[in-house]
Amino acid sequence: MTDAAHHDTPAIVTDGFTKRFGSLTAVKELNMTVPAGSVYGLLGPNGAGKSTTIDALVGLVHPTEGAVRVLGLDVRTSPVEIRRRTGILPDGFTPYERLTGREHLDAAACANGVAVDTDEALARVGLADAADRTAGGYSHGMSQRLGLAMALVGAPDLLVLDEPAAGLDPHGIKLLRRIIREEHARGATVLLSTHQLAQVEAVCDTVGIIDDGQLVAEDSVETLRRTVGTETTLRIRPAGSLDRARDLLRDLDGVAGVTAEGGMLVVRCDAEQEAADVIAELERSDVTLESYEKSLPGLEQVFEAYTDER
Amino acid sequence: MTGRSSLRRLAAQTGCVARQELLWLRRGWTVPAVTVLFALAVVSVVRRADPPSSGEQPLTLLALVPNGDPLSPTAVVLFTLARVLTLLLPLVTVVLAAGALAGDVESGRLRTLQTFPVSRRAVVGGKLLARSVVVGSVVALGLLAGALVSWLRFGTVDPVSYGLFLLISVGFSLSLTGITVAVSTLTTARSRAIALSLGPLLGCAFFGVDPGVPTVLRTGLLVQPYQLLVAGTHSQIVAIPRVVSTGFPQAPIDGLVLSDGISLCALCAWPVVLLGLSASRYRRRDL
Repeated sequence: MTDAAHHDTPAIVTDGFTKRFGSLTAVKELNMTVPAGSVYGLLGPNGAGKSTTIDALVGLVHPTEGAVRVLGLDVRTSPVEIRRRTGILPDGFTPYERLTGREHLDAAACANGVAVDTDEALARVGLADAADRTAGGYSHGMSQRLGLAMALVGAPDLLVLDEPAAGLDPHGIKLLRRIIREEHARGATVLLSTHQLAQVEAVCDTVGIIDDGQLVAEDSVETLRRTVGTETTLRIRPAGSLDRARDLLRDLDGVAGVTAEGGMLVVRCDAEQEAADVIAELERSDVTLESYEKSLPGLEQVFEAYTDER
Repeated sequence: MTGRSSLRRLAAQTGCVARQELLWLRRGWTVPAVTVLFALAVVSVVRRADPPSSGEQPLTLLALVPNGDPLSPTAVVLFTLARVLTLLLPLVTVVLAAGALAGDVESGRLRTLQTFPVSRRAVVGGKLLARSVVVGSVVALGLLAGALVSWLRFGTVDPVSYGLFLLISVGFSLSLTGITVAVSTLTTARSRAIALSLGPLLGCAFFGVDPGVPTVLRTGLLVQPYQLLVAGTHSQIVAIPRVVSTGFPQAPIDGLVLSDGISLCALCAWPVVLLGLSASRYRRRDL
């Protein structure tokens, strides 16, 4: 397992993938590459085509045009082999309400042809106490955890998680992040589709933004941040007079604006480098800094920039 | 070699799906409820089973012939049950099998199942296998209850005749199960699957015994093949179309159509063809 991570074959390649449902084009000529061993975040507004793309990767929907290759296999000819090597948590995961958590894992293990320690697998997602309860009594978050446990059966080479944080409480989200990191460390590739940008920022090394069925951006989070503008915000708490510090800051190059907010100065800088220069300048001046913090443009701004402009 | 290993894989996947399906069915109330109701219906029919009065020929393909001996109670029971089961078995089958795939599509469970490394053929096959086991068991249990009541009432049951009748009836119900699962595979809601399978099956039950429908056409309506096979289970039961055909030799094709071999083929042909078509369509469907 996880041999995909050790060679150059990308985990996922879509080449001109198009999916139409009647007259509606859900995905249009999508070219996406997910490198093996990466944690790839697929972002996009509702109806952008994320779930359709994910469904096509695992053979739940069939491409209208174009090619989809997963772990080097064509999804048209080898959907079962792809699913054998892929752990999938589909959007809106629905458990069998009359079956227990343990029976769900047994079913997944049977289909994968592997043995699984159900106690350990359920404990890993925090469902140890609910192992022998029927899934009909599970909350939404518990069902998601169960779906995640099923996706992890057989230590897959690729983990495809569609909105995995839906219904999870903060503990569940923390657990999800931990599991993604553990799976990544094991060598698995992770494809994560989510609306929670913090989730993507926390775990993904590459991000693809999809809008109107087309990939509008694909790069590392850092690079994407730089491409949409680099305005950086400094929140400065001077030890002495606020007015003195404000006057000094207004005269500096690269400062777009300064406002006072509850004993602090909020300084908007044109670029991250200029924010560093501002701090250096202040430290050289007679203004003493009690504290300061820098905030870079968030993924939210990146997301908005790419999905609003179109 | 490759063919054999892929067959083995398909069998393993089918087994996994069937096991999960059986577990699911075992946990519900439908199977026990239908088992009890069907057994009660069979018991009630057996308790009231009487030979038709002299000269009376009810709308059926079967007739009782004493052959100079008194009518055997087993012949009377089989004659009565065979007529009632043409209506009861479609009902039992549809209730137990219509939700096979359509119910899972409706609830979203089918997507969960298809995230497993199992082919779509294995999903249809596994569901068919599980539902066939359940329907076959329910029918067998009900008819065994009928045999018990028959023995209590008449003090005797011809085990060979009744056993053959039970096998043929289970076979008929499996044929209906195949058709119902095929319809369920083609639809996306349980209610639609029930309507689209129960309607035609009940249509078959009525038109299949209508003397106005040509014998050749009736072969395709499933009831005639079933009752022709039932006629072979006891020497005092005869199939009316066979008698009629013998009296009118100008329709030589009837002899072939009314044979046990063609009857068996007719019972198998519908589910095989429909399942083939529906599985092929299901493979191309977006979930």
